[in-house]
Amino acid sequence: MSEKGVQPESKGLAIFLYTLAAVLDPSLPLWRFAIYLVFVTGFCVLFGVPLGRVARRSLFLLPFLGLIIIFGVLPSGDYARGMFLAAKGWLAALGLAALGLSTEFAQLLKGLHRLGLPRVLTMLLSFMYRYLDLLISEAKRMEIARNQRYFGGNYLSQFRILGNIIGNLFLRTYERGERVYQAMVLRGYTGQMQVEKVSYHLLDYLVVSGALLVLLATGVDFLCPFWL
Amino acid sequence: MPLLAVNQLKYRYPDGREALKGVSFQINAGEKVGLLGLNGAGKSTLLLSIAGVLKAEGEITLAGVENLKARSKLRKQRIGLVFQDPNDQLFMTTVYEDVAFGPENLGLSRPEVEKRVQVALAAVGAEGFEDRLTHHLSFGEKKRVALATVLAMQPDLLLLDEPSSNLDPKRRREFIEIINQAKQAMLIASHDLELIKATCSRVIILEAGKVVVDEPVAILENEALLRRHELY
Ligand SMILES: Nc1ncnc2c1ncn2[C@@H]1O[C@H](COP(=O)(O)OP(=O)(O)OP(=O)(O)O)[C@@H](O)[C@H]1O
Ligand SMILES: [Mg+2]
Repeated sequence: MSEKGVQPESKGLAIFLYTLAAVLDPSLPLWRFAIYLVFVTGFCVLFGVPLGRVARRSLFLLPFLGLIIIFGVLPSGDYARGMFLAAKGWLAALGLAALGLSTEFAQLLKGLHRLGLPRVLTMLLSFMYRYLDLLISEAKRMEIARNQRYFGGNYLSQFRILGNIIGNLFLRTYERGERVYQAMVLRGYTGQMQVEKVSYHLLDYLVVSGALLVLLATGVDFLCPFWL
Repeated sequence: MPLLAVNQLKYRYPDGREALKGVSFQINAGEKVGLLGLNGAGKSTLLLSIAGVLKAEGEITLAGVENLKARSKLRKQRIGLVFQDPNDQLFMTTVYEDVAFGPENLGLSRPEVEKRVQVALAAVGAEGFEDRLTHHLSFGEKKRVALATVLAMQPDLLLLDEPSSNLDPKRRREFIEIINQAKQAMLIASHDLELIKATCSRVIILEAGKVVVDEPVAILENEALLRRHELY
């Protein structure tokens, strides 16, 4: 059971709808900016995620923002548009950070499967999550091993070593894939797995409806463009 | 009738290396057998062949069923292999999911699966690990959980590849307890002579893909023999 009995897929769906609203928002008036912030804040309070951490997490967006400003805004000098893009991006980042801090990735994947995402996809994502870490640490170990016995040299030899490491990494990954598959088959894997049945409660519906309302508030702009 | 009879098993890797050159032996139900041999002697290859991962030449008889097909259901249910590298064994995101993977595929009901997971985790001293992420476990913890994934299938024969490597002394001692308490037959490939002495009644020594010794475990007290086979 996740916190307060809300299923991970409800949280995921809610944040998805919210992000959709924020990203699609054509004009981002102040009142809607407030609505978005209120939604994220409510989400965090409901699931006991410290707001400070969410804010800090959302900063991962900064480098991307920098790029947008350098290439998109500075040449044209359209600062209002820059602000607009930055605000939308930041709102989306806030949502993702809130989701990430309130929900285990593994739980979220399970939930997405219950929502109808095909098993192959969720399995693929879960393997990626499981093995990415291993791949990175393997690459790091190889780099350390290289540095132990590497005393500089010309660029050509550097490239040759790098090529070796990448090739080796590929081979190791490939062979590991094979062994993991064997381990799965030995434990009776045939390609399908059963899905756990869960029930949804009032709070699930409330969270998702809240996000739907936010989306509706954004949709207003599309429905009646002359409002306000 | 022995639980497992292996007759003239031969295996050649695709790159041409002959890793098994006619291996024969038997294991009785509940019997624990140590598998010794130098690096590259063929221990891992032998375990993989018995489990059916590698398609070796020769005959394997399991519980009276002759000429077992490599990926037959009987083989998967009755034989449990724990890989040398636990990262090959643990592929699900959380410990619970990973240990439940096998029992779920056996088609057991949810309560039954949960019970199996609990019992298996308890057996390896990993109670309460259910929600932990497999890739965040320490190597020794991974080894123990890897064993639990196979214990949860309740096989009749366990094939363990280097089970005690990277275990701390306390875990290693507990691990010996686990093995001694288990009723299953086991074939344990290891360089850990003390572990074999403490758990097995028989030892098989492999040398360059051949069985050179198949004797009661007491033979490990014979230093001259150990020296002769370079195990000392
Ligand atoms: N995938 C492979 N492809 C080609 N040759 C292999 C492969 N795996 C193992 N070998 C070779 O087969 C022989 C037996 O290897 P195996 O892994 O069975 O040895 P081992 O007894 O388990 O050794 P260790 O004690 O180091 O684990 C070795 O010479 C090894 O180099
Ligand atoms: Mg080996």
